[in-house]
Amino acid sequence: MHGDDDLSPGERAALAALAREISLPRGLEDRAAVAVAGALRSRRRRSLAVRGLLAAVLTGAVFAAGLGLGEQRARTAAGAPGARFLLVLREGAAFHPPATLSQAALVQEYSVWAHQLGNEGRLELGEKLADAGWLLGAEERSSPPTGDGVIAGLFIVRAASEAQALEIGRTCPHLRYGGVVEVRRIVET
Amino acid sequence: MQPSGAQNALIETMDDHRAPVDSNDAALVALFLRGGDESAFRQLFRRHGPAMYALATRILGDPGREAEDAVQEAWVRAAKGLASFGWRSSLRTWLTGITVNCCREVLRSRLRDRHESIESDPGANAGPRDSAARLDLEHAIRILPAGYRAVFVLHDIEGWTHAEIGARLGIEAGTSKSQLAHARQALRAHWRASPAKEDSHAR
Repeated sequence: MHGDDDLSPGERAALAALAREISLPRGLEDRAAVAVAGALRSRRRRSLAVRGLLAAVLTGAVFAAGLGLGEQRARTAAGAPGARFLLVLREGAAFHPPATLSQAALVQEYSVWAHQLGNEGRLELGEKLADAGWLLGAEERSSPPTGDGVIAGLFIVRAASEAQALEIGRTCPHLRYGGVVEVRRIVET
Repeated sequence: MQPSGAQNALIETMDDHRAPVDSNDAALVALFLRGGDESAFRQLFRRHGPAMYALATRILGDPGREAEDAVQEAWVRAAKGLASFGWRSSLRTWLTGITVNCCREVLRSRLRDRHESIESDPGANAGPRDSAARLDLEHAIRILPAGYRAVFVLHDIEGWTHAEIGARLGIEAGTSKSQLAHARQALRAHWRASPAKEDSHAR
């Protein structure tokens, strides 16, 4: 076994003469620039989604039972094949997360679900709605309807078919606690 | 095995003495981080890309598309990680480390595809010897087994220590020493066997 210092002067000279830099192949700079720009665009989208989620948690934006989701802007599905579907999360009288489950744990559960959709490139939009709004019509009132539950949040996901959109909806943690998820295909015009 | 955060920190710390922060690099990085300035990226690429490409070419033993892809991927990773780069080493050293990681992944992929050994098995990547061809040093390095080649390039050409190589490649420093010795033995054997060897290269 040789030590580290067993190079002859000739060998050292030969190694020192090797070029430390090699001319770059034509087009590599352009390809790298495009790849980097694409990676940073994707990263910024994910960053917006995370910031929105954290903002919702920190500001106490919550669903009726104290569950926060907030804004999710992971437009990673933009341009992907398939149709867009609206998932409306409603909270009625049956919505009862276990008292033993902390709000932080609930938030975490919804976060994981939403981020997983984002990572799969299915999530286009996620928004939490304010608890109260306005109903406009023959009469105007400020209280939201209570029949099928308050609309607490909405998501726009991309799916290959209605069946797949329903499968996505069924994975929403909202259903585990008595909430209702309405799935509607968005008609593209 | 990817180097841990602690290993990366170790590598950067060990490199402190080598190169102070290059103010041109720092300015370009700042410009790039402000909004992904493409011009700044291209200047960084032109400053460091040729060295990264030389390194990738030597580690992979292939001046073709694999080396280009490794360099491109290294820049993508670097762009994503620049905001958290602590300047404890020179930018060149940091980029070199990322390039090495990308090359290792290519070697692992080859291992899966072709069952090529990256750790030992001298001669596994040598191919048929063409005694009529001039066997220059670059060629001799290129036909080393992949694992020997990586250690040899990092130690004898790039100037890394065995501790740094071990941390980056996920091997013991002793293994690095051993592989370097095997690499040198193999290179000397090639030089001796080469009819066109230059005397100055022989021991």
